[in-house]
Amino acid sequence: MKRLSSIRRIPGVALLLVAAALSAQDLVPYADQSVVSKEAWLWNDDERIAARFDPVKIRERAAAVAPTLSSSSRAPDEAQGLRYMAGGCRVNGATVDYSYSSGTAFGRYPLRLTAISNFSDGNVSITAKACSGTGVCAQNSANMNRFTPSPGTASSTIYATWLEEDEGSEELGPVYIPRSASYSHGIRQLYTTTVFTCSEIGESSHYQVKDSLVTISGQDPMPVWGSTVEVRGTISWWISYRLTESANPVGCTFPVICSSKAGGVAGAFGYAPSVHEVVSPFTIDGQAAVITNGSVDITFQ
Amino acid sequence: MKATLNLMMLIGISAAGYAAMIADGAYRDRLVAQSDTGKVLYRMIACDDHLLSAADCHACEQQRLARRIHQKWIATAAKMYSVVLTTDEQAIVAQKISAEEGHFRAAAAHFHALASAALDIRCGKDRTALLPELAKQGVTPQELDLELLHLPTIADAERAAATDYVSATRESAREYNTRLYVLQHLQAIVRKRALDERVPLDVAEESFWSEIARAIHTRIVDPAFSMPERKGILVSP
Repeated sequence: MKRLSSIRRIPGVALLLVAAALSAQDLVPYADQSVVSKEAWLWNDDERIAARFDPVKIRERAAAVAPTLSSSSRAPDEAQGLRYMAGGCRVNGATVDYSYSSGTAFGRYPLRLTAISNFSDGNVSITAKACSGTGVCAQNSANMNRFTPSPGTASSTIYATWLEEDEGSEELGPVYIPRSASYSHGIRQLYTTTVFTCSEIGESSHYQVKDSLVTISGQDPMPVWGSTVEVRGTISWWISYRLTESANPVGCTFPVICSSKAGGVAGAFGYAPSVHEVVSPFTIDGQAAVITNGSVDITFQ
Repeated sequence: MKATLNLMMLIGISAAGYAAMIADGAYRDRLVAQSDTGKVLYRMIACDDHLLSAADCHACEQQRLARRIHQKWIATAAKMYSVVLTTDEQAIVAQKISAEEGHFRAAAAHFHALASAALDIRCGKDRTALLPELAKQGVTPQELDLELLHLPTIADAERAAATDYVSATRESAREYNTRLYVLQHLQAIVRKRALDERVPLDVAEESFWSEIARAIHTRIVDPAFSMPERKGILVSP
């Protein structure tokens, strides 16, 4: 739980903003035809100086290394002395915090988004704007899409055997004989996917594991049972929670009786998280039953 | 003088404890219900869950009593109406039993470990020393204590340890899977009766089970409990 709360404080996602070669033709304004028409190696000193200090040319050169929301682009050559300042990052129109990370071949601007779990389903637009030291700016946009599909499911048949007192005989007294029954055991695991049109470092928000609903169904006698769910993910690498009586149990048709339990956490994230559910204890008529297939697993990939 | 006094106090405490134990034993042995097919003693249905309220515990006991009586009625009805599974049904039961073979062995190993430990303890071995080995086999101290309650003498424990739990577990699964089909056959009988007598299904079912209950002289001896419902077993109540 402590780990979870710390996760909520850190950015839900960090986007890698890489200053890269950008073919932003709309950022290239008018240029001196006399200079452009000549090959560079034919320029004289005056023409070289004019091109070097021409504000249009300066913007043109800067635009070539303006930021883009892509991790596949090439890095700028910092040796050229081009350092970038982010002009601002906006998520769904609202400015969000960011930081600049230097010291690598990339210029990185991790966005400090609020926890992904705070975003509802649908599209979220993310716009990043960066400016050069000379005041040339460029911007790029990406989208984050949240989607809640049908729950993941897994099931098994629980075989249960317990001991029950039988009358026995007059001379030997009562005997304890095994009784058996089988039950359907199923889990419906809610989850939400998050996909970015730009890169997401680690893709840890890819799956958000939410509530679990476990149902055991069978015929009389029904067990008194408990259930624990363990979720493993790349951020919240291990979370365990106990299920309680479901407020919205699964309905069954006579003579089948259903018993449902539910529970969950809001922030179990991971790239390919797995859910492991274990039924325990499992008692029938006050007797602990020996059960087989008391656990089910779901892996999101 | 002081030693004599201490001895007398010890005897007094032991006697009180023994009397309580006897009283508790008699309480648990009391007859709750009976029929021609057997008796139901209180300990067979007792609710030992101290977390439950008295009312919940009693409801639990009443439910267990109902299940035991219903099982006797179902077995009697199957005999009375000569219910036999069809070949297909028998094949499905056999298939299910075959699929559970691994479970039978695991359950048998568990029960055998429990019975063997109970026998060891009845023969004088230290309970605490046995617990680590039992834990490896998934046996809890609570289960062991319950087993010891079930097996109060060496003879009882020997009989339990010598039980072929694989066969007994397999047989219990066969009974369970067979009973599911027996219920369907009995349901068909009740449906036909409802149709013939032009009465609702629940009325036909109540009449059906009343006949069975009377046939085996089912009666509730302990006034704290009541006769179970005679409907809702075959058709939706």
